[in-house]
Amino acid sequence: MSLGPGLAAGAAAAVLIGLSCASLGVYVVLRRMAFVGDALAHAVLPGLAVALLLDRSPFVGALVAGLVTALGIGWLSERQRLREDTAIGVLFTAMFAVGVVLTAGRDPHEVNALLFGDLAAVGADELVVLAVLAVVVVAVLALLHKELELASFDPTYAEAVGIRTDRLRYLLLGLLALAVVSAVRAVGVLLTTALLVTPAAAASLLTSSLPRMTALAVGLAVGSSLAGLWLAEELAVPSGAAIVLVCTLGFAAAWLMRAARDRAG
Amino acid sequence: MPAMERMLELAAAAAAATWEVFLLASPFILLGLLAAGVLHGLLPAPRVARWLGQPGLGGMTRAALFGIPLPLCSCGVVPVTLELSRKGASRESSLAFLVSTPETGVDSMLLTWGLMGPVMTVARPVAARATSLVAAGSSRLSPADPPRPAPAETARPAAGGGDSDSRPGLVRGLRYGFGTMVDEIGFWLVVGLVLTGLITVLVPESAIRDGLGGGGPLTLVVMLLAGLPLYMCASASTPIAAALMLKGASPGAALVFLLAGPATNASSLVLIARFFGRRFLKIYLGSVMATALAAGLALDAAAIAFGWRIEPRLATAEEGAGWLTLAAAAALAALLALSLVRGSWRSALRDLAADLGRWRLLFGAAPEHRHDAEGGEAGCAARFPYRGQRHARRVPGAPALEVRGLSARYPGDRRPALSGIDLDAAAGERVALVGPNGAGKSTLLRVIAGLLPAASGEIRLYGQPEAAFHHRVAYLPQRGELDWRFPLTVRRLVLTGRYVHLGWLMRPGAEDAAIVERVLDRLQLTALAERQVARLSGGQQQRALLGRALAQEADLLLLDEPLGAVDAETRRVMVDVLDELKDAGRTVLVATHDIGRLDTRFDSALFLAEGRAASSPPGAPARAVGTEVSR
Repeated sequence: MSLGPGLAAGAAAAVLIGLSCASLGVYVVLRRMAFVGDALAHAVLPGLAVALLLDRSPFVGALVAGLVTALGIGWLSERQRLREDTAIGVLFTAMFAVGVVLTAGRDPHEVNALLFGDLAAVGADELVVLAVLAVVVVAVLALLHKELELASFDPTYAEAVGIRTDRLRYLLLGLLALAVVSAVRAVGVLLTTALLVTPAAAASLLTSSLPRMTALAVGLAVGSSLAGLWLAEELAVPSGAAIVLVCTLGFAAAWLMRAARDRAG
Repeated sequence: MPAMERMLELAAAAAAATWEVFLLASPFILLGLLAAGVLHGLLPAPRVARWLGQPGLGGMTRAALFGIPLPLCSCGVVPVTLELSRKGASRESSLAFLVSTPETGVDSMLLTWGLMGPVMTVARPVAARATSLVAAGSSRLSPADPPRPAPAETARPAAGGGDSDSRPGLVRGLRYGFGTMVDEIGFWLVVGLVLTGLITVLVPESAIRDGLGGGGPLTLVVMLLAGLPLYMCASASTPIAAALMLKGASPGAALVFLLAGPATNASSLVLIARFFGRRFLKIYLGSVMATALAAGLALDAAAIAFGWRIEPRLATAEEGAGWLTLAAAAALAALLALSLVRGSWRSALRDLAADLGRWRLLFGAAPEHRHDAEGGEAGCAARFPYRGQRHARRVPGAPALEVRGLSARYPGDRRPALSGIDLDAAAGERVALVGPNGAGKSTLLRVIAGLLPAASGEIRLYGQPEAAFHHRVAYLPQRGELDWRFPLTVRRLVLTGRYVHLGWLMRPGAEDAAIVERVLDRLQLTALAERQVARLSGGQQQRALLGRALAQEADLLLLDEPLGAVDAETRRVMVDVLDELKDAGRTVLVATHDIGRLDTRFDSALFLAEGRAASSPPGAPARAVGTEVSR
């Protein structure tokens, strides 16, 4: 498999996005935050649209919208007036609708790129931003690994030894916003959840150790991003969809391996 | 994004400057490490200590003189100094050694030669000797504190104390030079080189000459103040001093910077405080600062009078490095990378944390709150415990638990879950909290554990407010409150009990792993250590949770229904462990809805009903056999 010179940036972006999304995705899966991730991705659309209207970097728009939504979700879920998933459902569909209204009348190609992503068009300056996002996500996860693990597994004990689990949750939501913003560039608003959830879910079928699960998830995400990018080029299909499909194939393979192992053992 | 571009440009320039300094410095650093290793191999520290351990002015001078080339950084010098004083060296000799040794070593002297030339290479150890002699001399002037026994400080054993390595001297020495030494100075060397790169790029040319005191005596004071809080070994601070000279600092100012840093690191200060008392610290700091300033002024004056040219070599880096330089740089980079992979950055950060703690300890809070006075937590005194609170130790004689007039309510609930609860438990007592479901047993445990704020009333643990003591309280929730499907092994679960002693960023070390192994063994979980927690039986899960509490080495254990629906083996192990805890003086509170099923004796019981203390046991009191019920 060889990538043309124009695709080198796209491939580098795929690696970075796979790294940040899959390593965070492990916590998304284990803490059952998949719905939150999906909501965040959809809620990013109005930010992208506003950035497009004002001719600003889409990253900035997406980042602002993502962080605002992450904080909003955190705030809503602390107050127990509504069930969390209900509150998120109300919030993100509204945001998405705003995004649809704002993009009405734009060039369909532009809108398509927002909805489904376009990895092949990533430029060198965007690559720098993606790298910074990946470094931030991975560094925070690595540095706070033991606290995040404990707070996810046993929040009561974590509180008892003095770890503020609510702040860790906000931190995770903030990181999630960062990862979503970078994933949106690759696979678009509609398919971002797949990059967050599918690799981690596949990895969770194969191992019962958190570090191994993270490594597997990252490997699968990076591998399927690269393979999807190449397939998209070969078959002339949108790269985002190709990446998600390869990822899903990986998940299916993991499922089969698990089933075989369970039958054997 | 022009701002971003500018940032990237600066970062690239700083990286290039760091690389250049690294290229320049690495042959000298390598030579220094080699020399340090040879010296270490030929002269084992205990022998040196014997030789220097003689009283009087001679011993003092020899100690100061000999400490100069000895390649020990500020952490490594502490155990050797203790060895010295144990071997009978006078306090003055010990002090002279303690001060002069970290200021210069054969490694930093070679680096000084490489980066700042011959004059500085001579001036640095001479000034270091002067500083240490003045400090040692001034200790004779200080009011004589009663002599103290040498403290049993636990320092890292690899740092040059009595090592039991039986390999031939030279091999051992080389391992020391390219292994232990790199571990000790590696992280800070990298930090120093990066800082040098940043200074080279960010500080405008001759900013120091034109801005900060015009290169006169004021610059020296600025350098002194800059050097004081710096935690860096002599080697790491050398390139920084060179970069400062490049920006217009006089040689004297650079010398002051080089002297002030290592002489005032907190591990030495703690030792000095123990030898001579805290009052002497101020005298000591004053004399070190004054001598450093005087040495700086003298060097500047001499440089002018004799026309010495002292120029940092950073400026004269010739274009294109030779293959020898490149090879040295590659070798050093490999050594540093290996050391960082081995985790030296972790111990460096741990030392830094300990150092910050010692500063607070020296000049901050009252000494009786010292964390390291507590058994089992000696050594690196302060950590960054969660919630930013310093861990307090027990007040002698205070009861383990005092609860007075405690009320609590859950958020959003009007009815108090607890009201007017009083409870006392002496150290080593086992107390039962008895009552039907919903009586408030779990709530009381949660309030004591700090999970639910008290609406009114007071809780004291070993005489301390509960927030200062949470590291010594282990709370065992009911099994259902955890996510057992989480990818976590039994060993890892037990290890989480150590986190409260580690705090942010610190990784569990060998000591923590050893504690975990002991606990696993005691609870008969060793065979299950690598099993995922979901694949345990209920009793095994309960034992794993108890294991976490044991790993935490808690003084007060709060157990919520620990023996509900567990197998016979678990019940037996847990009852045994509870007895051992009692023998060890640990206090245990057990919440249960059926005291008769516990198969264990209690010193007292608190009966609860609807959030209040009940006067008589609910249900059948006769079943509480073996229970001396006091309340």
